[in-house]
Amino acid sequence: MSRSIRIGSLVFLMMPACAATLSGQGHFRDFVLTTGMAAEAYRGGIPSVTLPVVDSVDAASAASGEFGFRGSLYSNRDGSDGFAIGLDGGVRQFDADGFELRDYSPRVWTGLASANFLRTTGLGVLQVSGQARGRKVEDRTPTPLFLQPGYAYYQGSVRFRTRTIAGVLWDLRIQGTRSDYHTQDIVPQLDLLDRNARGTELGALWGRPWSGGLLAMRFYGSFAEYRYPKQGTLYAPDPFRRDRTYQAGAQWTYEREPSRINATIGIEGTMNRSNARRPEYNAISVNADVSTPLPWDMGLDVVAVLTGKNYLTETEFARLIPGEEADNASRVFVGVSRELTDAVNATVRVGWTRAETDIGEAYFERYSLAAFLRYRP
Amino acid sequence: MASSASMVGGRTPGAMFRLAMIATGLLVILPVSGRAQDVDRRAYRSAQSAYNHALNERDLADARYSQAHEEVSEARDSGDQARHERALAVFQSRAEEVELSNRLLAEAGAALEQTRRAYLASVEQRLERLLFDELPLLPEGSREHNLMTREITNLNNEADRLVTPVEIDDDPFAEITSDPGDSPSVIRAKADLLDRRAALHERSILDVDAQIESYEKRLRHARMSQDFGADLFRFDDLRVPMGTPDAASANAVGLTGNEELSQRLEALYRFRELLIDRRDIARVRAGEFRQRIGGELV
Repeated sequence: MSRSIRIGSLVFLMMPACAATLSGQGHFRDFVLTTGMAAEAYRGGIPSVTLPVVDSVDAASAASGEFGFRGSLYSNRDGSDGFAIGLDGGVRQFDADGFELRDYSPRVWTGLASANFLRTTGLGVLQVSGQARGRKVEDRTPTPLFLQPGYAYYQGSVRFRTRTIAGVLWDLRIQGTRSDYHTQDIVPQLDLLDRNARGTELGALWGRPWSGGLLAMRFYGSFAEYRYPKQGTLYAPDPFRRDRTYQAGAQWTYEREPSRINATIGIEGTMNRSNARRPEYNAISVNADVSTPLPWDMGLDVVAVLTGKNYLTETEFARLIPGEEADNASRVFVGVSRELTDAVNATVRVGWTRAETDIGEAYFERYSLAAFLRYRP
Repeated sequence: MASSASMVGGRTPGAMFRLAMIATGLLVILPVSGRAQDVDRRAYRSAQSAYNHALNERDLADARYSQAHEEVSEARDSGDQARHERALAVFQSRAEEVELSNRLLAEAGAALEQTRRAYLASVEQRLERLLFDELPLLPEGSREHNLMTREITNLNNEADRLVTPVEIDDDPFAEITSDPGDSPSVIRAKADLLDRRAALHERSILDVDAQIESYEKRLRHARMSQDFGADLFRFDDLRVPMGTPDAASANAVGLTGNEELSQRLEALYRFRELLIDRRDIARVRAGEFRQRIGGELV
């Protein structure tokens, strides 16, 4: 068991004790236990050198069951200024079907611990955050049932959002991250995905009343430098891959209180430049996040992201790490939720994901139908 | 010369030194005790002034509260929903001001009580010293004796004023009290007035209940949306084989976050408590008034 999973398990086991110990100092908010099951279908054969085996099938299916939890502990009762600690974790067990080589039963463990410090001053709001995240995958399947490999991810960031200046809220974020993928003897190439990043983002947000609600617009630009210490460039003076990613985007968020509609749509342009020519690309991404009530006290949630990429250098070879760098990707998830009792709510969710690459017109597609029950003690 | 220099008024230098020491000691002790009383008096006066200021602020907040409450009632009767909502928001804000001013008044009252006790103690200490230590030493009928007697009288009066503990005036209907000379019809009219105040608060409680229900619905809905996102995030369902997944902006724009909704709800719960308190005070007092004139307790 990896260190991050062990830490996650320990943290989970300590939560009740923490709750009792800190009840006088902190305030537990929104502790949620989730259980769910899903039926999923996968198609396509997008290649990935990070997978230990290749199976010749181009369609597979899986049933899965999962358990998750999340909770936060705040130093202030109202969740405003002060410290907050967040925990999230879970396990998902698959029963895969349709492969020729053998039957697979992959299991995914995840754990996340985050700490957040918020301080409101006369100038604005300062937020200092740290996050550690771990993921472990046992019995990882070949494509088309693509599962992200296990990793440890660490993030630290400082963000400052000003008070309104001439009707505009400005925000500046500085962030550093580290991703460490778990290698196995048979797939040492997973190390190639390891990366360290640091970057900054500047945004401006303003809002105005619109159509009976409030419309907020945010424009932002960011720069990040990614270093891949395990990916060589075959160029001795500058031996390891370094990417510089420039992004610019806009988001429009509309919220109408009486009907409780909340919708965000966004567009984001990415320009990735590197000391290696292969990973240089331009991409554009459109996303939507809509939440609206339905009759009978139900709620509808839609999350959709469509991304298209254009590599600057055409090559007959596979991209960096085939399978991890598609040319376009689309994700759509739609869920209908309803509260069953004061403490329990349920969701039925359908999802569709598709990623394509120019190399051999390979693609990956996933359809899912899932049901969740959530309990807030 | 040496002899005359060493003798002053027929006393030896040793005796002079002892006298000087006693005089210095008295100079040190007496003004300090006098200064301590002055310090206590200044602290008390300052606390009294702060209390009066807090009381005025509270009365002002109460007047604004009543005015806003009347506007809510008028807006409700007009049938103009937007005006009603606006008036209710203003009323809630006025109620928060009342809560704050009551809190400040309580703090000022506690500070005043503390300084009252300290000042009373120093006045009594001074009185005891004058009465039992200093006055008997002065010849009766002398100017000093008369001055000290006057000071004792003043200190006595001051102690009488200070002996009553500070009582914080937190009566929301202080203007509606029953005087001993009130006739039954006047008392009945006052009881009716209190009943109307209670009914006004009752209607506002219903307004706030409706708002609470709406916000609770919103919060439930927001939580379900948050659950939806959290479940997608937990197992990386949003990630596809795309590379650099953490490159995208993570600054989602949340106009009204769950925390804000929770805070608004908590504010509404507090608002509701204040309204209920005032409704109950008005009802109980109206019942007491009616009981006084032989009516039934409502």
